[in-house]
Amino acid sequence: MNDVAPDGLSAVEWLALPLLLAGVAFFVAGTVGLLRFPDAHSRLHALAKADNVGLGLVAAALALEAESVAVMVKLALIWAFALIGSASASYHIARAALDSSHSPRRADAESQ
Amino acid sequence: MTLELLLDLLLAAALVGLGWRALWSEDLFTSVVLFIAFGLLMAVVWVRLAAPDIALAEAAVGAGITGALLLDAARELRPTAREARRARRGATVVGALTFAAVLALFIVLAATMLELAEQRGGLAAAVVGAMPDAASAHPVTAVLLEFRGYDTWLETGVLLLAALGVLAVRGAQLPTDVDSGSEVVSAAPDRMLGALLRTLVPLLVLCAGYLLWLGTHAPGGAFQSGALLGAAGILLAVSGARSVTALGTIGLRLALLAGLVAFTVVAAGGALLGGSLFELPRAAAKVILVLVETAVAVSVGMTLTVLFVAGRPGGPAYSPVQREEPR
Repeated sequence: MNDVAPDGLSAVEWLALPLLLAGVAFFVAGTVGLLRFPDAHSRLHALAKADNVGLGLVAAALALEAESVAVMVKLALIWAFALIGSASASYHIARAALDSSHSPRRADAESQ
Repeated sequence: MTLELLLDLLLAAALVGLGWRALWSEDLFTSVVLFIAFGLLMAVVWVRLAAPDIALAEAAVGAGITGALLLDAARELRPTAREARRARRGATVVGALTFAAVLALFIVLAATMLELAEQRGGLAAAVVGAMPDAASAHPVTAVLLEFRGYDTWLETGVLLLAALGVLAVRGAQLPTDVDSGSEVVSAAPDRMLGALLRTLVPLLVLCAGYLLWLGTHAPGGAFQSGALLGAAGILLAVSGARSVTALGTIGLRLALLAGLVAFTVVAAGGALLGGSLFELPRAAAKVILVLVETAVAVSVGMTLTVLFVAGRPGGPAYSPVQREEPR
């Protein structure tokens, strides 16, 4: 983590800061959705969409402050893999929730 | 540096909060998920403590594979409401006593650490001093495989014993007949799952290989890549793919034994070639170490897969021999 320069932020940091704050705002929105939405599928919407946009914005902010192109590419790859991972995971969770009537908790051996 | 201190304090508070919530949750499933989150946060803490090797191992094994094992167990252990209430009443007394004991232990440890902090020694200086003798460029790998190779060799033995123990208790073997994989996936074979597997498993194997090679000069190494291979195996096993079961009994045994055998051969070879136990010929040391690490990684991956698959509670697909236990 960089210490804040004594005479204020550099130009790049002025660009990165709003992106970072926007990313955090999306994460907060996603978390609020996770806590407040009524059922599994809508909660998945909050997680898969809001959180990933937040991650993309945070990655963009970090990429602006990166030292080299390699780090920027790595950050972009991280975001891409997170997208793929969360998309597949959301699909499977949603499918499993649907199969067991929205309840992931069944004591009887009906599902699996 | 106050921003970093703030970050560290937030991490510590989050860890304690997650641990508390994981223990005092109404629902077992919630506890397990919080435990997985705890493991991931712990990995971040290890990075903050400048220990990336441990962070890799924590994320892969502590959060990932242990999480998978616990999710399986939680699915089977659903206490009824009355049992839960009774358990909770007894738990407060036990909880208070445990908390007091742990607090006392924490105070003793903290006092000891603060006292030791004056003697700024530790083994780091000794390791750095001995690095010119090592074949690996990374201190952690040098300590694990060369300076303390004896310990790592015994660790591979312990892993083998764990896998054997699980197989012995469950009476299961990874089934070699063709059809058993399909019982796991309750619905029709899922195209998304197949697509995910086709992308993810080769990527996991590639990353495992990369971590293995990286371990010679940077954080990485045999156990981390073995954890990735174990994750790939568990993924395949859970989705009912037949790649793991297609190994057969011989393949299973070879994979489980590979690490220990390779290590023993290297150790004995050193002794037979006129040196002492575990002494490597200087010229070929790096190649030999990479080969041993590969064997250990394969073994660790297979052990973790076996621990998950053979340990699945009452799953008919994975224990074709015994169904006499009540579920």
